[in-house]
Amino acid sequence: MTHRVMGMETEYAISGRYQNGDSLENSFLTTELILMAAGRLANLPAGGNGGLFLGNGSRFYIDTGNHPEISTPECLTPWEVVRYITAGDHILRDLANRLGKRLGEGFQIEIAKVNVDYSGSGNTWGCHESYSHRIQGRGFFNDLIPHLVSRIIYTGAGGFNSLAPGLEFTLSPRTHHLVDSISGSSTNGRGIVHTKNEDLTGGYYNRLHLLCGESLYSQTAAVLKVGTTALVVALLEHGLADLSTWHLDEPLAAMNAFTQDPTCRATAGLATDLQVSALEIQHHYLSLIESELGAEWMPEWALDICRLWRSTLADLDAAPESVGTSLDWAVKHFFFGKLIREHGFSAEKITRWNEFQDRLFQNLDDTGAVIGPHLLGGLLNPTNEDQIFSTQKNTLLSELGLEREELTRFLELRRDLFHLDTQFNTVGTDSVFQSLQDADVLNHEIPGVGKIAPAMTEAPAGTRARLRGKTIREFCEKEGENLCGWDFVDDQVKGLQLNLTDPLIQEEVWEPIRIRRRNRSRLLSRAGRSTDFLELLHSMDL
Amino acid sequence: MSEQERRRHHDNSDPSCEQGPEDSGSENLTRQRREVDDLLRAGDDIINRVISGDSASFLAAGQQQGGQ
Repeated sequence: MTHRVMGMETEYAISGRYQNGDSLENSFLTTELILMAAGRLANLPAGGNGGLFLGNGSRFYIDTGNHPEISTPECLTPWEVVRYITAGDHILRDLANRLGKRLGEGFQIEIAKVNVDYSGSGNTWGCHESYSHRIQGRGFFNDLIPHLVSRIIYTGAGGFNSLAPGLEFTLSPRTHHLVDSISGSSTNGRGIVHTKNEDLTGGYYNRLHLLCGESLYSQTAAVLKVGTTALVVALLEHGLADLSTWHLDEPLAAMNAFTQDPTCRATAGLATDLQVSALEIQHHYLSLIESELGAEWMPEWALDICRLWRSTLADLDAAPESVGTSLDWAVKHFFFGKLIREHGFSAEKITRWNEFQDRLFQNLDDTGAVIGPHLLGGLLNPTNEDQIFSTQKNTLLSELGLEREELTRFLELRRDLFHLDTQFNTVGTDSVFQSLQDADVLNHEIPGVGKIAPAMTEAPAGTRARLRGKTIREFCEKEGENLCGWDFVDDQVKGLQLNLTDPLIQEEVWEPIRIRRRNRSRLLSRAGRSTDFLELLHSMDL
Repeated sequence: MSEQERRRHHDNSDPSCEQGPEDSGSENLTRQRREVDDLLRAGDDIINRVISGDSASFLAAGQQQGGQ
C-alpha cells in the first residue's frame, strides 16, 4: 500500500459594503483578515511567500488579485482533503463575521467560492490541486488529459460561460478560460495541465499541480475529483495502462463539447478517429483502475473511491435528473431552468437570443468595433441603443423572430441568473447550497468527510502537517520571530529548525538552522564570486 | 443522519448489492425526479430571497481582480 500526498488551494472572492452601498477596498479587508487571523488563531508567519501557517497545518495568505487563499495541509485521503477545504471555509467565514461586526453595524462581508466573475472582467478564482508522484518527465500528461477533460461531468461547478455575451449554461465555467492543453502559466494561457513542479519535498516526490478544477460544495463531487485523479496518477506512475488509443484529437474542443451538455451524451474525437463520450472515457479509466485494485501500490482507500465512482457514473447515465440533488452543476441546472421559466423564457427562446448576440457581435467585430461581454448591456443605454439599432439590428431581430422590447427582460434574466449562481457559492448562511442543505433536500454528503470543527484546529495525522501543526500551536505563544514553511519550522531561540522535508515524516528531527534552498539559490544568483557569497552570508540574519 | 444521508451511505458502502425488482431503473428515475421536485419546492423561498436582492449592485460590488 502506497501513500499519496494531496492538497488543495482555494481562492476566495471577497467584498464588503455597508447597507447604504458604501464599500471598502478589498486590500483593506484582506489585510484586516490576515491581522485578525494573526491575533486570534494559532499561527506562525510563513517564511518566503508571506501569509500565515495555521495550527491545523494549513496556509492562509493573500494571493494575486488581492483575495484570500487557503491551502489545505498535506492529506492522505480524498475525504481528508475535503474535510480541510471545508475547515478552511469555516475559518475564513468566522474571521469575516468577526471583522464585519468590528467594522460597524450594517457592514456585511461576503466571502464566496465563485469560480468566475460575471461582471465582464473575465477574471476567475482558482481551485488548484496538488498530487505527489514519482513519474519522471512530462510524457504522462497526454495519458492524464482525457481524464481531466471528461471528469467535469461530475466535478463541474456549474454556471454560465462568463466570456459569452449571451446565456450559455456550462457544467464547468472554468473550461472557457483554458486556452491550451499543457501550459506553464497560471494566469494567462492556462492549460488543462499545468507544468509547475514545485515539489516542496526536497526531491522526495514530484508534484502534479492542476488548475483546471473548480471549487465545489458537493462532497460527492469534491471527494471524487480528488480520489479519481489521485488514482489515475497512481496508475500512470506504475506504467500499467496503454492509453495511447484514448488520447483526444483536440482536448480543449472535447472539454468544450462535454461542458455544454447536461445529458452527458456529447461525444468528441479520439486521435484514432473514434467518437467517445465523457462517460465512456471515465468508464475506461475506472475499469483500468479496478483491474489493479489488489496491487500493493494502491492506496487503501482505492476500493471506496471506485465504488463511489462507479455508482456516480451509473447515475450520470440518466443525467441530469439522476444527479440533480448530488452534484453542483446539476443542482444549479434545475434552479436556473426554473428561474428561466418563471421569467417567461424557454430554452429555445434563449437559443435565439444567444444567436442574436453572436451575430450582432460578429457584425460589430467585422466593422472593427471594440466588443466585449458587456456590450449587450450597453444596448440598454439609449445612446448606444439608438446607435446600434439604427444600423442593422432590426433586421436581425426580424430574421430571428425576436421582439426588441424583450431584450430588457432577457438582460434582467441574465443578471438574475449570474447573481443566483454567485449566491450558490457564498461561504456562510447566505449560501444557497447551505440553505438547501439545511432544508435536507440535498443528497451529496459522504460520511468519511467527518466532522469539520476539529479540523479547524488540528492537523491531519498521517503527514508532516501533524508535526507542523503541533509545533505551531506550541510556538505561537513563545518569544522570537519563528518562521514556518511547508518543509520547516524555525526555533530562532535555540537556532534549530524542524526538518519537514519528507512529507510523511512523523518523528521530530531538529537541526541547526540551515539556509533554505530557495534562499540559497537566490544568493548564488546574486553572488558571482565566492567572496561575495561569503559576504552575503555574513550579512544575513540566519 | 437524514434519510438521504442514510441512502447515500448505503449506496456507497455496498454498491455491489443486487438491485431488486422494486428498485428498477425506471423507479430509480421516478424517485430521482421526485427528489428534484422536492429540491425545487424547498428552494422557492431561498431563490426568491436571493433574486429580490439588488442583483446589479451585488454583481458590481463583487467585481474584483480575481485570481489564478
